[in-house]
Amino acid sequence: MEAASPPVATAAADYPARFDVEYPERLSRWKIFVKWLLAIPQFIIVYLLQIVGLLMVLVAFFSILFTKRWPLMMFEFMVQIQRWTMNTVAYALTLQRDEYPPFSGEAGEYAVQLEIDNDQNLSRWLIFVKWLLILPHVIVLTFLWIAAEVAVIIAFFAILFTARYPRGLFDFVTGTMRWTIRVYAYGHWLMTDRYPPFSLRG
Amino acid sequence: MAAEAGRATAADRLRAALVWLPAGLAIAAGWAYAATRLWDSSTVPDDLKLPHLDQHAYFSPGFLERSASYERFLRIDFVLATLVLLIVLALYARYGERFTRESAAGRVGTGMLLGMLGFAFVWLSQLPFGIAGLWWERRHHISKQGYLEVVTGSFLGLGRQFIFVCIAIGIVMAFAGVLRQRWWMAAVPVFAALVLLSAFLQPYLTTGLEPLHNKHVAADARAIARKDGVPRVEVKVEKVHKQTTAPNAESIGIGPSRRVILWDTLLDGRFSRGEIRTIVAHEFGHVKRDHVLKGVAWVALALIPITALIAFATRRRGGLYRPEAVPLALFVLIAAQIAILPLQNAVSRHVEQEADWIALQTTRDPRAAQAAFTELGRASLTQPRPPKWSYLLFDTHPTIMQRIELTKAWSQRHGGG
Repeated sequence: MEAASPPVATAAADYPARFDVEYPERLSRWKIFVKWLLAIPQFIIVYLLQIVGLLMVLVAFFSILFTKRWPLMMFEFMVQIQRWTMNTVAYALTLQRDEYPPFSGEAGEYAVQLEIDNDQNLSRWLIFVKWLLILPHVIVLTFLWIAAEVAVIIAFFAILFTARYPRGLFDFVTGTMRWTIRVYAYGHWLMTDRYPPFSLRG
Repeated sequence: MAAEAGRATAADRLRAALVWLPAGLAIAAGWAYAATRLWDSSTVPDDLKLPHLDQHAYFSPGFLERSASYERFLRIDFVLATLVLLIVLALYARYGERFTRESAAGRVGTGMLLGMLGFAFVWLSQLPFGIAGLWWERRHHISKQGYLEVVTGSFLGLGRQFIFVCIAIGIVMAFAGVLRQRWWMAAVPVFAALVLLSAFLQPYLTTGLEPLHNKHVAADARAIARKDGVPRVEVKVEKVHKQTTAPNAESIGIGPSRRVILWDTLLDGRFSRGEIRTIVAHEFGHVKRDHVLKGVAWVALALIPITALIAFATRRRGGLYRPEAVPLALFVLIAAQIAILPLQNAVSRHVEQEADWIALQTTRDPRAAQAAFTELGRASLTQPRPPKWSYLLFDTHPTIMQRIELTKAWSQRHGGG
């Protein structure tokens, strides 16, 4: 018997964690030299927030174990932390945006979109193995991030000479960030039970 | 109309059988020829008759009783663990496909997820039996490992297992995407190549190996290596004395990566220089006769029927093109591995006996060999002559008494007692 069609109809598009960066038509040629310096305050805040986030994951672990859900307030705060982090990354590290990111993780304030659906019925036992289940993703992402770093270096020179981020490179870097966010949402932040797609696409 | 369709289907099947039957027969004949050649490559004389010796002449009644009791528990533990393993995997084969709903990872990614979850269930189901076995080994002062250390170590080891599972499922499902039910024909050579590569790389990936500092043993090892024609093969020491009291040695690697590894428990003073020489010569026997390489060849041979069986068993679920078939494939794989365990052990005992024979030929010291085998049995609490069923099912080496009997047979053949 031959299979008629692929059995898994779930597409990457309806994954509970969504990420995107709006493509800028033009970027500043000089900002690329100083973005990382300008972002130092952001980095410090994001670093401290990530420590808070880590502690929240620890609390969420037990919350999921006993109640099968993230505490609502904490969930929203965690998404804001990650949104703030990704805003900073898109500005200073992947050079995708020129606007200085807001000192906030509110949605809609920056040209970076990060949304995660709050699942109210998470698995109690998956939380023990999710970090192991993401190993294949981690391996792929290791190589993707090496490629993404090369892409950012190329983009740096492209912006310097043309004031434009090559679209292909931009989409690849955004896709790698999107993939990472999905894997983190599943394996590290324990926010969803749906195994992330092996895909760069949104 | 239906009758015509039925006739057409029957005719199609007949045509397919006529095409595939000769190919199947050719594969089976080639398989049997290769297996026979591998088996016959042993250097133990065909006409060798082992004398039947009384184990009471070598071991005290107290030891015989203690070793029988020790191994009985471990056998029961193993049998129960195997039964639970099969039940868990059968249930997973039946219900595991439900987990596809939890995945957005596409066909291959979902297959990997199901493979990993299957092994996570296996790990969980085997944990109580592993702990029971550890408790028993600690009680008999064989193992020194702590419970937490073993549990966390095996849990972290699960990650390594997951990586291998994902690679294997990725290969199989990629081939199934192109070849559908005939994926196994392409997968077997790829898996065999991966096994070969992993056997080659194993010595480089094994951590915690140290140089052999014992000058006498090092000198003996160099002499044996020269005599066996493998002078460049190094001997390393693995520090295991914090985990176990059991002595052991092994040979790993292929070609330039070949190494002989001695556990430091072998060098703690319980074994005389002559006894250690026998054990080192045994390991160099493996090296000389390329047993690791032959082991890879046996694995490649075993892969052919096992993968074909998996392809056959999963065809009703759409074959391994579909991730839903992965849980069933795991069940068939593990069940087949358990089923061929007696054959696998027979092959292992065959090569181990050859290594014993080469050790005797090299050292020409049957007394030391006999003492070494006796001490190995004592130190590991091994039952010298286990029940036949246990021997066939569990033993990867000849029994201690068979090994002692081999030293007698060697002596008789070479004009000694």
